[in-house]
Amino acid sequence: MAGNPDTRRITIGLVFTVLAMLSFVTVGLLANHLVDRGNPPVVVASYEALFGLALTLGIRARGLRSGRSPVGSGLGWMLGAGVLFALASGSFYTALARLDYSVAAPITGAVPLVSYVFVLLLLRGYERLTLRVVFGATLVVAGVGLIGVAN
Amino acid sequence: MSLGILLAIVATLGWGAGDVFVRRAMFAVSPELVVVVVVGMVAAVLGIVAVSTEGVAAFGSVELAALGTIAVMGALAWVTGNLFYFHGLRRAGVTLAAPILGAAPLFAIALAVVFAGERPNLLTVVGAFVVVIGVAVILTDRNRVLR
Repeated sequence: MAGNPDTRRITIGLVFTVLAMLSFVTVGLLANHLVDRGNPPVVVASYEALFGLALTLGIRARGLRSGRSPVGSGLGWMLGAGVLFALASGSFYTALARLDYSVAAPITGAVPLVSYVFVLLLLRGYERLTLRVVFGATLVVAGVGLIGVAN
Repeated sequence: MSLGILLAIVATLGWGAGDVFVRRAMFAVSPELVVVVVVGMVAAVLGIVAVSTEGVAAFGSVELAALGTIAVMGALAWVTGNLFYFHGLRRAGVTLAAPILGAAPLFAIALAVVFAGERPNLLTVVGAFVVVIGVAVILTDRNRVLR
């Protein structure tokens, strides 16, 4: 298993994803705390992105100078993703001002199912969805939904 | 349906579609470049929305302590969060990485139990069990990343 480069690549990817998930959970809890204290949600999201931009530019400036430029279809996808993420984080932080984190977070547990629809539309030929993976993702969403109902 | 629920659904649609856009972008460029362009775009869009809806003065109303917290959030969201997630998307694909990230509320509950001393009720435990089974089902079917 460890000798298969594809398996190793996927396992490393999953480790990165778990670390990202822990970060996002912490961010969500901190955001909930800040908007509950009366800070404007969109301003909080805006400041967060500005700090994020400064940090990622600072950390990655050298690597970016030696990297490839955003040519071809990459730039359009990146700009589109930026608009979608802005819509998402602005909406989520505004939702947190109206809902408890324990209610809002489980709703976003349905993100994988939305992604799967877009995988079918935009990643046809690059990734394929099996019945098994759709069933697993549905279980994740259902379980997260149960946690939301319970809390 | 309350406005809060509606906004959370909009967020779900935005993140769900955004993940696939990011994956497409990474066919041409590195995750590092994607995260910088995406966070730049997010900062620009949210900045315009915030100024339009709250006014410039709202940026000055945030206390210094809150700004410190937001700086930590910026690091967590965009350096250890999205940068790591984009690397995860590139290696494992959307089909594997997105459900793992979707299980985040499970960890929020775990944090609440460990650090806040909360006691989960039966439904929470059942939900957590279902999430774990779902993740296990996904992780045992890895042959779907074609690129």
